[in-house]
Amino acid sequence: MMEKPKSTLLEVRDLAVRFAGRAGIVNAVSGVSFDLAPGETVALVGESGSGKSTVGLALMGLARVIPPGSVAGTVTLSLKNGGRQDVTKLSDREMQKIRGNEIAMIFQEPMSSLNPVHTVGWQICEAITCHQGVSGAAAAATALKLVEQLGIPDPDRCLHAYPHQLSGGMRQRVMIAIALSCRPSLLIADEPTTALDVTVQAQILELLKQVQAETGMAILFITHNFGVVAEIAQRTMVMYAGRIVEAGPVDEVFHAPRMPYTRALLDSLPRLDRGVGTRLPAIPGQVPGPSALPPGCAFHPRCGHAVTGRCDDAVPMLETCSAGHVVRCVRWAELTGEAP
Amino acid sequence: MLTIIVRRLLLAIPTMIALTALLFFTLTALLGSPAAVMLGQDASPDAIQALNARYGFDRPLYIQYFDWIASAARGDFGRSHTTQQSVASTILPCVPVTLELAAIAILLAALAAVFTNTLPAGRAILGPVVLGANLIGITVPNFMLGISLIFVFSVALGWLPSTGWTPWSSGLVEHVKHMILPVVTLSAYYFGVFSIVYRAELRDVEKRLFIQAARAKGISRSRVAFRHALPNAILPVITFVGLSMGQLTGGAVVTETLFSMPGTGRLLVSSIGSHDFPVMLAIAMMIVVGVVLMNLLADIAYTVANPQIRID
Amino acid sequence: MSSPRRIVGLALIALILACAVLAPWLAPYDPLRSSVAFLSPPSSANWLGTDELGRDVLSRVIYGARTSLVIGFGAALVALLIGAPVGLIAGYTGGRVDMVSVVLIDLFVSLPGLVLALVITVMVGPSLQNLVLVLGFVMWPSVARLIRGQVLPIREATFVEAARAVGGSPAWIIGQHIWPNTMRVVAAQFAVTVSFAIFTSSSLSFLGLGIPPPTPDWGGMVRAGYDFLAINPLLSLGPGAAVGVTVLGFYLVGSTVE
Repeated sequence: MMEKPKSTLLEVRDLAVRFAGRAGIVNAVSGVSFDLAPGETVALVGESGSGKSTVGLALMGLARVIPPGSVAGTVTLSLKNGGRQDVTKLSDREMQKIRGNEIAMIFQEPMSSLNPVHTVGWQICEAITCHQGVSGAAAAATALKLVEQLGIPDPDRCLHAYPHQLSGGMRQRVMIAIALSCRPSLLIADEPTTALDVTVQAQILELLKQVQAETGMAILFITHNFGVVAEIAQRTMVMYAGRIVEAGPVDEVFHAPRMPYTRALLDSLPRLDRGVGTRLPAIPGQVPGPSALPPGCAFHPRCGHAVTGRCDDAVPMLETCSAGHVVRCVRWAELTGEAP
Repeated sequence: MLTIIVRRLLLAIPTMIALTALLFFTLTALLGSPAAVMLGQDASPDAIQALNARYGFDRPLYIQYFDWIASAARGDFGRSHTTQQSVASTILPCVPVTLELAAIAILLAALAAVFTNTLPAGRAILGPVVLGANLIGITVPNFMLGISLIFVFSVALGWLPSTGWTPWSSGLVEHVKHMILPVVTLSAYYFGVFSIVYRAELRDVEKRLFIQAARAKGISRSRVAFRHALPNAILPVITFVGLSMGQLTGGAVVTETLFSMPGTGRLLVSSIGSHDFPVMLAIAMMIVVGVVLMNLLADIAYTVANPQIRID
Repeated sequence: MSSPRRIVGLALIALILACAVLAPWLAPYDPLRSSVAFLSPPSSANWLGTDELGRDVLSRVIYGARTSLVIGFGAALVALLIGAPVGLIAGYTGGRVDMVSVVLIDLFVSLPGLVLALVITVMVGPSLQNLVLVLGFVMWPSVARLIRGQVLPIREATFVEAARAVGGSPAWIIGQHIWPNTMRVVAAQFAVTVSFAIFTSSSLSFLGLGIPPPTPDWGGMVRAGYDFLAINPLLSLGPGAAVGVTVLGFYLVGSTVE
């Protein structure tokens, strides 16, 4: 297990999300455990289908579960009023007080995450009114201030605009405004910059860091982009086929990855110091769907270092390889000596 | 937005002209001789000749058409062959009856369709009931539904009258009592149609990201359903409401006949039965104009309701 | 594939088909034979009672299936024969032809079908073949619109490009590639069209424009039975229910074949 920071904001233990698929129950997420301290940014990295978005939704109580199926495990949150609560045990109605208020979420597509038939101002005020009980002019004033602070030009006109009248970057700022309107202690960002231009991407990341510095909120940043991880996160967790396969400080995981999957992912990134004309190494095969997981280590069919009898037997446990750095691979110690 | 409306209006006028002309020529062509139709199969050639001369049916068709249009613009639609009164005075009293019936029935159907399919709790509990009502509405013809209702509520229980009309002047309660069965009968079909359209759209809307984002804000499920999903899903229903009103311009033929309501629908049927060509023609023209106008209104309503089109 | 709705629909259609085909064996009496026992209530001899001319209602309802099915299938076929080519050509050709077709079809579809059928039927006189033609004429635009909607995306699909590259003529492409793909949807729509045809034709009969008596015709029977609603409601409700059941059956089948 990772070393527990002094005061934990979020404690996730053995989070599992199961869906009822056509061929039976599928495990979209299994055995995910991690901690989040106030004010820190942790990146959850993985390819599509790794289950990373599902983790985010499960923390919000929004993972679509079709019976028979369930969210198992515990997610203990330190509330703003001082108490601690396992949010998986809450009913949907009770969860509504947590969403937007204690934990907020921003999504990938700014155009589709805003309601096209309401003005932006209306949508920001809705969140404020819902959780803070103020309405009308008071809420509008708060919304205006928020929008100003987030650096949106011409804030008053923006509030009266409809989503389709704004640019992608502005819309994402609006989303952030909505998320921040009730001062949550945790922000879950599900690929918020993926659909944006690179320059806008940088601006949004800068904005998030700024907001975090001012409010001290923690960020769980879900992404598949390592560049973004390096920019914004202190710790990172790598997911594959619904499980965390490596986790640790960003510097360490990037420069000394222990899990072959992480190493292969990092290798497949385009780099300036590789020779011109060399081919990008790609990971052979495809990510297995949650209903067709191979036995043992889920990555072993695609792993160049897999050993029959050891890697295809049982699912490996998470082992600590150095301070704060864990890995889910039975061969990590042997493979460390080899060249990355 | 104004430009769109103006453009549509300008398009509607030539459409109306083209359609009314088409209608006029088709009707007169199909009839062969309107006079023969009016007098019946066994009329003598002389009688037909006389009638032709009297109504001007022996003139070239296009002259007849322009003449008709010109008179119609002045409000003169000729004289009813059966009652000898002006067509306008025959049709006019029927219009408010049909209007009231159609408007209430369609509005009721739309409101019921939207609300029963939006309530999250309602969908779970009322679900099968609503689906059943939809199915009945679109498969059981008006007249069967009407007669069943008449049998249950009028003949067996005696709660409601079986004919559909007393004027407002006779008292509000009486008026309402007489309207209940016809309104329910007429709206059943539209309830089915609107529900199907709305449900399909709602299913699509609920899959969209902003619904999940709205839930993530922590607002209640019913608020998400009514303030976020509904305003998006209702747009096609608005179009259908307009189209349906257009279709009922000529009256709800079956319902009015069944409940003996003095509306334009029943007038159309009786004028057809009595071979009253001037009245028939006037009502048919009215339908064409009504359909084009209501289509236009539906288009405009959709444009206004959807900010993505309304603004720039 | 075998959803409950579909099974119920097929069962209902089978029932009505059986009535139509096996009428001479299923019906207890001759539907045209009048007797002195008019307006008698339901009894073991006459399950639904007798009408104002002493004819057995049940037998007339059973035989009525023939008229309804003939009109339903006939009209749907006419609609298909006119609408399919129009839809195919409009969808495949595109451009001006398509634009004009769309405007025409949209306008036609927004006209009240029953009124249109009413007016035309009065002109030409109600007979079996006229009813079939008129109803088919009223319904072809919706068929054309549906088929055009199917053709549009297929037109751009790669395999059509491939066929064109090999030198296939438009007619050949339509026949070989586009038509088979639309068949499935057309079959579903056919069932719905049949249900709509029976729905509308029974309304026409109710208004007095159906097959002339004494042929048993559901809509007309409902109209005649209305006067005697207090005496024997089954005179109207029997044939009325038959219409509802038939329309429901075809609609259920048509709406679940997707």
